[in-house]
Amino acid sequence: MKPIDRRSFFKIVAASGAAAAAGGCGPSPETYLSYVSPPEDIIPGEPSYFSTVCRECPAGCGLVAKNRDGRIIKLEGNPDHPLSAGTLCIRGQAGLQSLYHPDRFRQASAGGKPIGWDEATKRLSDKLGGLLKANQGARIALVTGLESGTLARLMDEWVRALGARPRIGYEPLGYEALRAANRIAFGRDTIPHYAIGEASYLLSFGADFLETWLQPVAYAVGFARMHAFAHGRAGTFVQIEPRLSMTGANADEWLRNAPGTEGLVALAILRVILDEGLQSPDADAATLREAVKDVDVAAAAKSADVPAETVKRIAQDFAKSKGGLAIGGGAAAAGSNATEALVAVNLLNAAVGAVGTRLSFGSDSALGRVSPYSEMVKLTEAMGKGEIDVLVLVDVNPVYNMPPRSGFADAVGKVPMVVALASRPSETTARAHLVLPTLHPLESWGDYEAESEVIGLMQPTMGPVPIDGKPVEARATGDILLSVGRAALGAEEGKGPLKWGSFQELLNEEWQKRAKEYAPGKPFPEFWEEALRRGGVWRPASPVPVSLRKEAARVSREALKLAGDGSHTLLVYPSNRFFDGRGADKAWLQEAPDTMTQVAWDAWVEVPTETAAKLGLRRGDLVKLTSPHGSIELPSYPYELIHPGSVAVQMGQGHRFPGAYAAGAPPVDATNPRPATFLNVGASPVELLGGAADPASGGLPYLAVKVARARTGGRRPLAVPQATFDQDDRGVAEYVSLAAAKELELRGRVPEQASHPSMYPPVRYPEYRWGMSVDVDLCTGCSACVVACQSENNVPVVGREQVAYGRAQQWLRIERWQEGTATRPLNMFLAMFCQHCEVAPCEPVCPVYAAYHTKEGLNAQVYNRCVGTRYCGNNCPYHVRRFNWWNYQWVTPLDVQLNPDVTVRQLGVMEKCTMCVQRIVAAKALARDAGRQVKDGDMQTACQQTCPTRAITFGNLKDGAAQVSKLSRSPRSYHVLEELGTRPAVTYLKKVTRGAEPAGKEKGHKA
Amino acid sequence: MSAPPNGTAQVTWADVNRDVIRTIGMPGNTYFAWMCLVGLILAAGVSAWAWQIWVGMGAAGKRTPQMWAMYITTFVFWIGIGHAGTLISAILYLFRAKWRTSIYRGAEAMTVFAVMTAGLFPVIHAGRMWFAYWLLPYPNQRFLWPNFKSPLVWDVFAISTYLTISVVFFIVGLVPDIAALRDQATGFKRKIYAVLSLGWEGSDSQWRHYRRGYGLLASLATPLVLSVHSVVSFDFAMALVPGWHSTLFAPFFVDGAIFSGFAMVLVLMLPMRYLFNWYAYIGDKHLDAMAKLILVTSLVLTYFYACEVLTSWYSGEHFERASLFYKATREYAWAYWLMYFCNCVTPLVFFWKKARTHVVTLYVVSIFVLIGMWFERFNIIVPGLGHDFYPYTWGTYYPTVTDTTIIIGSFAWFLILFLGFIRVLPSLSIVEVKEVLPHPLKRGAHAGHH
Repeated sequence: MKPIDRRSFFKIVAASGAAAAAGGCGPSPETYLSYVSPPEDIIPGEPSYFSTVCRECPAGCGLVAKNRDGRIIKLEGNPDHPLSAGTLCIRGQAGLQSLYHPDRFRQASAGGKPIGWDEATKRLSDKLGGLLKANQGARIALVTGLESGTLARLMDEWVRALGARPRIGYEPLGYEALRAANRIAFGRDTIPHYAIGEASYLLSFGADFLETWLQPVAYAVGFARMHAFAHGRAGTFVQIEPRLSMTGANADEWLRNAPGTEGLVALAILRVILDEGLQSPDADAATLREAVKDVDVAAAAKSADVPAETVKRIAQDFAKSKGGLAIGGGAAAAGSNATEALVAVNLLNAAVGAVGTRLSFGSDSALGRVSPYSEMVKLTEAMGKGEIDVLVLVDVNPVYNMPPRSGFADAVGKVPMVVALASRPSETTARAHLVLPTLHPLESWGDYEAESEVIGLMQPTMGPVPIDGKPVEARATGDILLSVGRAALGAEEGKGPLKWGSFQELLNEEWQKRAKEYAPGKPFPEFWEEALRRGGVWRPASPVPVSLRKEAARVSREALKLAGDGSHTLLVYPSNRFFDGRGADKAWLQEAPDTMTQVAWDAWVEVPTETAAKLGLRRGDLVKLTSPHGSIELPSYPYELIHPGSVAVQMGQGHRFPGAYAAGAPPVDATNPRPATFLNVGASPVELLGGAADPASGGLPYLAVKVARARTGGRRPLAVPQATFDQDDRGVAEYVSLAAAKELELRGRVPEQASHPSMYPPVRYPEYRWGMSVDVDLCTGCSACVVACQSENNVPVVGREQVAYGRAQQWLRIERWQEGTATRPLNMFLAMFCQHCEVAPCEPVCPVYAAYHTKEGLNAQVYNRCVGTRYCGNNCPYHVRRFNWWNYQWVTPLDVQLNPDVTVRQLGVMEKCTMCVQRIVAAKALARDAGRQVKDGDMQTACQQTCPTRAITFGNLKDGAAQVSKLSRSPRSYHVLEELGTRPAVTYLKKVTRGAEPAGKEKGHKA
Repeated sequence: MSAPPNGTAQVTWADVNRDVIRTIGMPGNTYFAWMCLVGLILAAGVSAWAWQIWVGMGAAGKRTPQMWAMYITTFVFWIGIGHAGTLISAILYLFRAKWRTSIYRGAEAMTVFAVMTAGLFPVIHAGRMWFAYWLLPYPNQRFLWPNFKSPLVWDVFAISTYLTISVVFFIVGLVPDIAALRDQATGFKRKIYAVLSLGWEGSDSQWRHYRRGYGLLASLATPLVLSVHSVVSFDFAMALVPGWHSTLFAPFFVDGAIFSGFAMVLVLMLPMRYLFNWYAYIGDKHLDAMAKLILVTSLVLTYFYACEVLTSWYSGEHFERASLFYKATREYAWAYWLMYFCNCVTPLVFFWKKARTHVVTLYVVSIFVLIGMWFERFNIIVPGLGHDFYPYTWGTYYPTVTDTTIIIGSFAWFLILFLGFIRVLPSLSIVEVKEVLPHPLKRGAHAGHH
């Protein structure tokens, strides 16, 4: 070997040095460039807030988007909005993950191959223009989601201009039966405003109004007002449904009826009311009597599988409350007799004088404008017959949402040109010949009328999301329709029926009209700016008086018709997290466990415990469900809170389209597990349904089949982070009866059961002591806080296997604790997060002071200092500390969402709830600028902010007048695992149980 | 094994020198084969550790609520093993128990190596092991000190003190023997042994000072035998976890440590006696004495187990009872009952005198004791954490390939150290064995170094 000379030696040294340096500095260097000419309205590091409308579901709640340096990092409710009152649900909170979805279309594509915009739009407009010339506009079909504002107007103009088939505004949850019932009972084909907050006795026939039914956030706000224990009063809520939903779990009483017997129960209740003369004096007693003339309460109760005495009692209480409101509907009750059942519910409302007061027409919900499902069936037929040449689908996914038996997916194949306007992939876009990416609602202009006279205004809260440094090439739906429509018509800008240069121009025109209507005399720019700031305009709608029509008396008592001869009725219910399935591609929603079953990341079939015992089914054993229309395979979940004659499957899972989260997607890094394949997990229950529309209402009957269930022998264990629903009398979730709560109110708080002497001097807090209170009576289990916390605090998503293995990373979890019996259960939802104990067991054991107590009472965790001994994690009796077992990933561009005020934690350190310390710091800085202390209400934690029922309160415990201090002193207050003497800064308020006492002990505490 | 000649009566000083020194030197192929095997296992363990550092602690199967699992189990196990050595050298020295002389050197080496193995585990266990030095109170410009309230910091002190004293004790005890080696060795080896023997000449004054110093060290080491494992037990006793938070833990752990330590001594000494043909030095009376100690510590341990169950039941503490019930009946119930079998039942055979000197019985029981003691710590940590206060998070830990490999690797690390030791240093104390030889025979001696 040649000896190395000096020159080559240096070469080698330099090369290896460079290699070592390159190996040590991560994937790629980032470029940091300052603005050459900074935009005036953006101060680096200072957030700006934009009001807009949440479009994750058709409810249309007000939204405030927090923009930091040009990107949205957090969504919160718009406090000015009349419906959602500043709060947001779990789906709204996860809206950020549809904005920053890794699968967002980067550019237009044809047949899966990227093409340029001009080429793409030309293809569409040429095709449309050709049809137009041949006078065959009727061969064009436009299917959109529910739109109720200017975009709806534009779409309809577009359809008219092209002579296309009338637009279909498709919503899988379309509430057709509700409208049909209102048509029959009151002569109005709309969905009225339900003032749940004004009721004192709420009777719900299967309506999951705290989850998906119509306006869930607004109803949760109202429900808190109506139901919460305050000043010794509390309303009553009774749920009648075959399977206990999360909404039902909040009821004071659950009546487990046989599927499809809601109408029967309603009529039986009405009969009792009329028999005992309890109806409202101005009710149309004659019509009502006519309706129930041959109803036999005992027989009805028997066929509905409910005790007749309970029906009687409920009827009496409902009528006597003088504030009764009955609601009904929801997919789980959408059977062949749903319309009749809802007419019966309307009759109940008429009987107790709720019509015109707690149920008012005039303030009609946008959902009343949904095109019935039967329209889709007609379109499918037309497509199948080859009558459609161009099918334009805007933000809808009928291929997934419509039962395969409807034939839509096959019919799509017969359409020569299918165009999808969407921002991210779905089963439907996968079948489109042309995909035109649209901007996300948070990036676009628009408006949405959630309810008559409540018009939300949408503005771009940020520019198009950059992916790998390049903004997505997407355009606003309105702009695409305008340019394509004009090109097809051969018209120039400013001329013809689609004259507007941009959708923004049309919006402006519409709002100039609105300005005259809403603020006559006010200059438009002023009105516009105010509307933008506030997030829209709203005023009370003038009520439309209605009276009960005689036709309502002809309500039939038809039994539920079910197809198939299986052993169990299939209950299909919408998901609190995925809605009709549109949220299932969001990792945050997948990782947040379903409240009732606590299952994360999967689909399951709820099997009655009796059946499960008979078949020897354990949780996770695969079961094959077969209906006359198809069969699916799902892991079983033995569930005792369901009618023994039925099985239930949640909507939303079982998607079949490719993407970053689909099976077979390559992992980002072999050493970093990530939730790669959750999209294709499970199956959709819709596959078991028939495709025909219900003749009475035109809706899709979700309650329509009987299924046979067979054990396949396979197993797929479910990821259920909650080990048990039985709190083993450990004083975790506590409750008192209403009578006891009232008495407590008079007597004051019972002193803590044991004193905890200490050799240490009492802890002193010079300025603040931050604390929280959680009212278990108010918490509905909606889990919005879970995702709110996750998005505020850069909490990673860990995936199915990790959740199943007790490594979920969420700082806040919603636990469900069940007491009582299967038919008379008491469910309590407990938001559990770091308790910030004064005598924190985690603090003394940390060898390096990474866990320490701040002078403001926070139990701080210094990530930089943490060595990862995990002693704190063992010693925390609440197990709310989360360890970074791996290096967790944010798939591009989800990392753009990360909150710059919060550290992204490194591998090997412990983390946990900080009470949003970054917000505390910001509030203190603002207070210091104003030369004062932080006042109560200056800041809210992320979980508190989003909570629709305001169950969570944060504040300074040293301030005796602060809301949190008052609540902490409440006679209902307790600490979780109080006897351990940890003195948490988080105080819980016991749930108040009404009605009959659940079986078991009074307080849920033995230890 | 055929019945060997027992006792030291017919051994001369020269025999001692010869028998010990011949164990040192160029080993045979079998030895190298063993070294290779153990080395491979160690390499696997090191690779597994590297993998764990690279991907994170997730590779080690821990979870909520078992944030600790097999690493801490094995840590406590090795610390326990490290007890017998000092007990034999220090406490038995002070009590002038003559039978200790022929086993103490091996036991001391075992102690040092066991503590060295144990010391690895807190580092392996740490989520960010590269910052494990933050547990040391070293001066730094940020004036950050460790938290002296934390039992983990006490551990650092207890173990480092114990390691220091054990090493010093070990080296001091070796000095006259190394001098003997030096006198026999030639060339390069002689130089090394010359340095290590610290200029030992065996003069009267050296012996006087040596004896005094050794005695002082022994008295220093004695309290450590009790303190180290007490402090290690505080990792559990100071915590809030039901089943951990108990005043019983310190004596309970110390007793268990001695119990397992003696078992390990037997496991190591019996093959050495066979391989080196040391039947003359390690005789029935030694085995008998150690078996008796194992029996006594086993009985004491049984008493502690009974106490633990009784306090859980009698206290009426809901959490304690539930935790105990969980351990005894759920996923790791087999480990729980295995522990009782190994630690409380198998040593009972030592009530029979024959069993106390029967080599196979001794060996099998010792292995059982080691298994039992490992599972004792496992039961405290894994099922013990699995069913604590908060029902939501109850759950079970399952071992992974990574953490199992690291643990097996730790045994290889210990063995490699021990195998190295027996070939370079006298694993039987030449000096002390000679001391207990019957006086008249000394006349026949011609060992020149005394």
